[in-house]
Order: sequence, then structure tokens, then C-alpha cells
Amino acid sequence: MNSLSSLVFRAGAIVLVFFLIGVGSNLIPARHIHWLYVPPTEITILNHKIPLVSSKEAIKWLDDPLVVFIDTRDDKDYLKGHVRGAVSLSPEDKEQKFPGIEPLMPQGSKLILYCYGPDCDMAEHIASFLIDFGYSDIMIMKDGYPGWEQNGFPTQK
Amino acid sequence: MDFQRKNKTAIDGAKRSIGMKWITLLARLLIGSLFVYASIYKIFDPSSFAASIRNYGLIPPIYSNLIALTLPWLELGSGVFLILGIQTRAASLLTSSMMLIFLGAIIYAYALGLDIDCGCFSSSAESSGRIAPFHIFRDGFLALVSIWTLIFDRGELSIAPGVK
Repeated sequence: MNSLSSLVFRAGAIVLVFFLIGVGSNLIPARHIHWLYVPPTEITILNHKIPLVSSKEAIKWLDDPLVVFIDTRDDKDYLKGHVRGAVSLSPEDKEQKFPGIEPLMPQGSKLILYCYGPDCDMAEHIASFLIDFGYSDIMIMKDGYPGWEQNGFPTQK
Repeated sequence: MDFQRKNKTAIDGAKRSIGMKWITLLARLLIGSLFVYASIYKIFDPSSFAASIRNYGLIPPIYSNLIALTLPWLELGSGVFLILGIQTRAASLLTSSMMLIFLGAIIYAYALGLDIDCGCFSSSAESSGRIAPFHIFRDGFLALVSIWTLIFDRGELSIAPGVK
């Protein structure tokens, strides 16, 4: 076996050993996580179950008059582009903005919130705020505006 | 006179060789230490590391947990092997490969303008390490240091000499 093959073989052996150690570490009950990632389908906020939907699922409600899309991102990003027809309600100025947009989302409306993507919690923040005002039919579009835009769905500036 | 010139050349050669050994040792210890340090939070919080992996969007999300469970242990093992001087060439081949992959991922994320946490040394909950040019330069430097170790380390100045 030439030296390069030997080197690659030894490196492969190290990879295998520590791969098995990593696998073994997940067998400890206190540390266990799922072997394969399964995205959550809902979260709970203030005892309300909030479904998490993808932009491909949310698109079907775009033209429903009883559904309101709410953009929870910063104002400057909302102005650069947002889901067609979405209203802006971001955590930093929600108290000031809400009275102005409340007529657009009567009680009983289905609200679809979104922000920057799966790692963003601004939509959850706004969901909590809206639950306090009595809204209960709330969803969060988990892939956010980037996912909506990537799919080529309708947007406006 | 010829003897003195040859002797001086031999002495200079020995000094350069000793200098190279120390530089290579420092490079090996630097990379080994950083890999051990970087692996710690990932081993204790694989869920957060898996989230960081998913943020890059480079692999199918379904595999992010499996990678988060195993990659940190490989980092730890490679780092310890480099520090102790065990199988240094194989370990530095692994660290070099990992650094090049990390560097590629960071360049990709930065080029796309992804507003995500680096996930390099801590989780997004604690880090302010949003990807910036600094990360690219840092990882590029570390990749070069690791490749230096791969090329120039001969297992000298090791705690376990003779194990190559």
C-alpha cells in the first residue's frame, strides 16, 4: 500500500472511530436527539397551538379575503419587498402600528405571520402579541419571506 | 576553509530544520487546540449545532442531526491527536479537509448574503458571530496552517514519537 493510500486509510479509520463514538454518545438518554431531523409542525404560544406551514402551503390562502398575511420583519425589509397584500407589524413598533392595521384584520380572520426564515422568532413574538388581543386562528410561515420569494410567489414593494 | 564553509552550511541547515520543527509544532498545536475548543459546545448542544448546519442550506435538513452528532467528535479526536502528536499526518489531513469545507460553506453563505450565525465556536443563542469577511479570512488562515501541518509535520516533537 503506497504512502498516500496508507494516509487515506488511516484518516478513514479515525473518521470511522469517531463517527461511532458520536453515534454512541446519542444513545445516552439524557443527551438523545432524533437521528434524523423532523421539522416541527406546530409550536405552542400562551397555550395556543400555532401551526407551522411552508410557503407552498400558505400560497393557497393568498387570495382568500378572510386571510391576512402579516410581515413581522423590520420596516426597511418590508418596504424592499413583501408578500402581496401583507401588512407590516414588527416587534419594535407593534403597539404604535396595531391600531392602524386592526381594521384590516377583524376578529375571526386567519392570520399568517412570517419573518426572515426558520431561525427567526419575530413571528412568534407577534403571534404572542396578537393572542393577547384575542386572535386565535394564527399560523406561522416557517420558511419566511426568503422561502416565499425563492418559490417565485407574488410579492410587492 | 572548505571544511569551515561546509560545517557552517550544515549548522545553518540544522538551525533551519529546528526552526521548521518548532513552527510546525506551533501550527499543529494551534489547529489541534482550536478544533478541541470548537468541538466542545457542539458536543454538549448538538441541537443548536444542527440548527446552524440547516441555516447554511447546503445539505438536506433531514441529515443535519446526524452530522451534528458525529462531526464534533471527529473534530475533537483530530484535535487531540494533533496535540498529542498521534497519527499527525492523518489527523492533519482530516483537519485540512474540514477547514476547506468550512471555508467553502462560509464563503457560500457570505456570497448569498445569508444572515445566519457562523456556528463555528458557539451556538446562535450565545454568539454574535454573524458571518462577515473576518470569518472568511480567519478560516482561510486556519486552513493554510492546517495544510502546513499536513505537509511539513513529520511526527517530531510528539508525546508519542514514532507513531505516524
